[in-house]
Amino acid sequence: MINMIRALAVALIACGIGLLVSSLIRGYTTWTNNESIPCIMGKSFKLLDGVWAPRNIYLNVVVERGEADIKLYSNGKFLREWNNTNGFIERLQITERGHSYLLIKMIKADRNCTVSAKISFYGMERDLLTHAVFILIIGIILYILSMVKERRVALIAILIFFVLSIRPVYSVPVWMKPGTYAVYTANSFMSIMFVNGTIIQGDWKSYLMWKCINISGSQATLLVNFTLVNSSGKIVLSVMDYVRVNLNNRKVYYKGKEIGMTAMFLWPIPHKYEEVNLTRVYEKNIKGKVEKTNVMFIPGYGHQKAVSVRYNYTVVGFFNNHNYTLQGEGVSVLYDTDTGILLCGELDLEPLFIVAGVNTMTGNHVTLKKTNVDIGPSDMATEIYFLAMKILFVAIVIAPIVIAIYILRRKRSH
Amino acid sequence: MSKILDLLRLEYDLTWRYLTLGMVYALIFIAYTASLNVTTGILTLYGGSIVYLQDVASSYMYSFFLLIGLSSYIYSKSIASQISNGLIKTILCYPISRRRLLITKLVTNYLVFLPSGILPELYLQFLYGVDMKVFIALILVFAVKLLFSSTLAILFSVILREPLMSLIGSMLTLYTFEIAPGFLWSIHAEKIAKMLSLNYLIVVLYRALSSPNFLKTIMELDALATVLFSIVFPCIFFLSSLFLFEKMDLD
Amino acid sequence: MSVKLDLIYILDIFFIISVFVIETEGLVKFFGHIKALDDLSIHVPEGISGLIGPNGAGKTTTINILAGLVKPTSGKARVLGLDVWSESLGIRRKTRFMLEGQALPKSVRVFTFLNHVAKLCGSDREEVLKVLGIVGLKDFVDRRIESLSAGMMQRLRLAQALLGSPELIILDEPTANLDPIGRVEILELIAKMNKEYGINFLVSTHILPELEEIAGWVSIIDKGKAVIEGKPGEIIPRGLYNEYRIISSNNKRLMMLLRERGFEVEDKGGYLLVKSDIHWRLYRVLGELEEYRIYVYKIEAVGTSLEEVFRKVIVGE
Repeated sequence: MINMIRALAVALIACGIGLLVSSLIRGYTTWTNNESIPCIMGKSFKLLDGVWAPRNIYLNVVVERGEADIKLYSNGKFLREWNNTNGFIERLQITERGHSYLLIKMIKADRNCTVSAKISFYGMERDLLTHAVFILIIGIILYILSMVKERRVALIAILIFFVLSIRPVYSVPVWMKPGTYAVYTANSFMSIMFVNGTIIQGDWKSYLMWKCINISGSQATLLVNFTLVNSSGKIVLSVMDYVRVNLNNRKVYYKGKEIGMTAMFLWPIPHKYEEVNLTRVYEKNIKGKVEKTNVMFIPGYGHQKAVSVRYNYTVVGFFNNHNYTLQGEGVSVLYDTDTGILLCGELDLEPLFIVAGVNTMTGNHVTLKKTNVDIGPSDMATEIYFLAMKILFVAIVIAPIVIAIYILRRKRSH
Repeated sequence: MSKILDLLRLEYDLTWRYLTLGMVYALIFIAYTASLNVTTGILTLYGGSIVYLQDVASSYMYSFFLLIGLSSYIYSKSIASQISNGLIKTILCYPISRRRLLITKLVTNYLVFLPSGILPELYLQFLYGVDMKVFIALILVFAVKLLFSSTLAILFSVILREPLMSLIGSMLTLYTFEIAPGFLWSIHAEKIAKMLSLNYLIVVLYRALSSPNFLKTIMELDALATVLFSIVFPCIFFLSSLFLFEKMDLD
Repeated sequence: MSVKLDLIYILDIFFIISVFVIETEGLVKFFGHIKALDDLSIHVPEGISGLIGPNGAGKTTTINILAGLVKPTSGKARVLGLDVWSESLGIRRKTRFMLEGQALPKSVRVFTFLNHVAKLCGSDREEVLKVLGIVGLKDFVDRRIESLSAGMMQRLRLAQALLGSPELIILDEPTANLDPIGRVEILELIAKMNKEYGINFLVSTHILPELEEIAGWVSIIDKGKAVIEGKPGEIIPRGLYNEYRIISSNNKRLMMLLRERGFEVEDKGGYLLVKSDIHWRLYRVLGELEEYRIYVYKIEAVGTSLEEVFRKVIVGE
């Protein structure tokens, strides 16, 4: 049994080292992919469709004899767009491994019009390094366990370590206290539908702030401020009002009536592959699934570990003599893994918008701007990544010396 | 049952050291994970399953190439080396039949090798969420290839009885088997090439697994000969090894 | 000559020995064109027996055939009543072997190896510990085999042969690589195992005096043929070799000490010539002298080569 554990430990350590080496090999290898496609006017199509590694990319797109609107989607999220372009060269960073592509819509296309895209990947794949360190640590722990004579004591020590590292789960978010606030901004092309049926479209900047005023049991009273600024910097709309939120089930009550379920936080924090009711406005409901944990850079807060909730939705409605359809495919929202507070993501439906009379906001990609909630220190895995890189380079230098000394000593002892 | 386990343990202790085990696992892991989609850049997930399958399968080839060398080394160490240094005589002085000993050697080393191919595939499954059918097809072909190279390496060890010579002999033969389909393809002998190509088996198995009738698809793809080749040849190799080993003078 | 030998053999069969643990009839073995065994017929009774012959006489080939490792070209061989080739597994259940220079798994630890052997032979770890105590390897259980000295390695070979309560143990050159004291210890151990547990032994060696004290039967073979079989006292007169050459770390002091203990000793320059009618007595005294920090580098009986024995005993020179 002990030998089997030791063999497993050795296999894991070997795989960890293997992964570390292969991530280095991959890191110093530039992958290039080309794709070229003839196109016709008005047609939308995808280029470079596949799983992209989380690396730096050098993107070179040429539209010959035509013009196109090009959008880059990474891991289901809109990342960047180029409008009315006949080509571009751009360096970008892909942060998550996932299904990515260029969505091209031809605005102008002559005969024999073609779009060709060339992409080069370079730099390290951070997820591989993190996994390598993780596998190595598991292997080393198992190996130590198989070596230590007082195996029970070691096992108990490790169990205690893990138990202590698990945070207790409360039914309501522990960080929600009177005075807690969060500010989100969004700056993109949006289509806003108001409750009175008015629809406005354009480049908008939106600010959404909520602040906890009072808590009574599981009921929190929040002051919500929603401000909309147009492209010329003029405030178009600014509304402030109170809502009541049930912290147990995230239900939002406005003027005594239940209006939906907020997506501003998730509590308890969902596990991987867990299905969650993400948001609801009246009867319009969006469900999502936790896909993976990512590392998200939030300015001022560093690299934060986040759970990515992915959802597809189609909401068809009739409102104030207007038929409308809201559609989203592979949309993601990210939540902090420590607190469950929303970090970023596309939020088209949210009951807090009702306060400002907004029914839906299509293309509303919000990002956490400011909060007094302690969302934790910068992500450990990222720290390990940088530490591992340092150790690795030192090891590469020192290893030959150590091996040489070992061989010399062995020869002498013989 | 416990006797069989005891024999497996003995064989493991005699052949494998932790360093050897670590090296084998690390090398196969590196070969697979480092090579995946290096050539194609983007892992084409939505461009058609077969395209994607070929992408993954082409990366798997590096591990297969490495596997040939490693399995040849381990079996030459386990059999040819033990015959030449007399360790096999020591073991055969205990109440173990020669047949059982050779089967134990095949089973133990096979079981130690097999996870080295499954682990990187499992990791890739975790990383990319690979299609389960692709995963099964790859694992099956890895198992078949491992059996093929193991039995051939055993046969060489039993015939040559000298570790270095059997290592070189089995490696050269296995590499010949590996490159022969490509050569046959180039001279338009597609039928024989298909039969000898265990790599073609990945595509065959994937398609057969995807279809409602497994056997019918294999017949339709003209791959029955490939399947039979991959099963019958290892059996012939191993039975020949058993026959020779039972008659052998261990002087 | 052959009539005389056959007579001894027939007398022994009918009047002295009732059971053979090993018997071979007309055993022939060719390795290519080389004839290793040439119509070898030996009969080994219960108790401790010796298989004696010079290097290249066919001892190891005989033992390999008995172990089922080599198939005889022709002839028959039976161990404990079982055929050596067709019933080899049955033989190996009841018999243990210690082969000459037997290979051991170098990277495995002493206890792990013996534990594996014990399991294969239907024994348990308690017996392993007991055997380790018997051969004096109890302090080396966690050592890797590759780190053992040649003498320790030889003890380990003996230990593996003692596991599994065998009826018969066949030992090929068991005292090779051992110092004089170690040799005596191993031979005493063989005698003790035979006396206490009733284990039969066939000991192959090219050093005749070693077996004189313990063996009840000796088969001498040469060039793949049996030369003579019988009780050692009967076929080899006592006192045939009573002179020993000794080279030690301090020959002068050793000479003085041996003389104090009643031995006739002559200093021959590079070595001492010691007279002793009983082989083991000298070995035991040499063992006792270790406390004086005198180390015996070499000890050999004068005129013990089998060629000399053949000349003196068989040819009658």
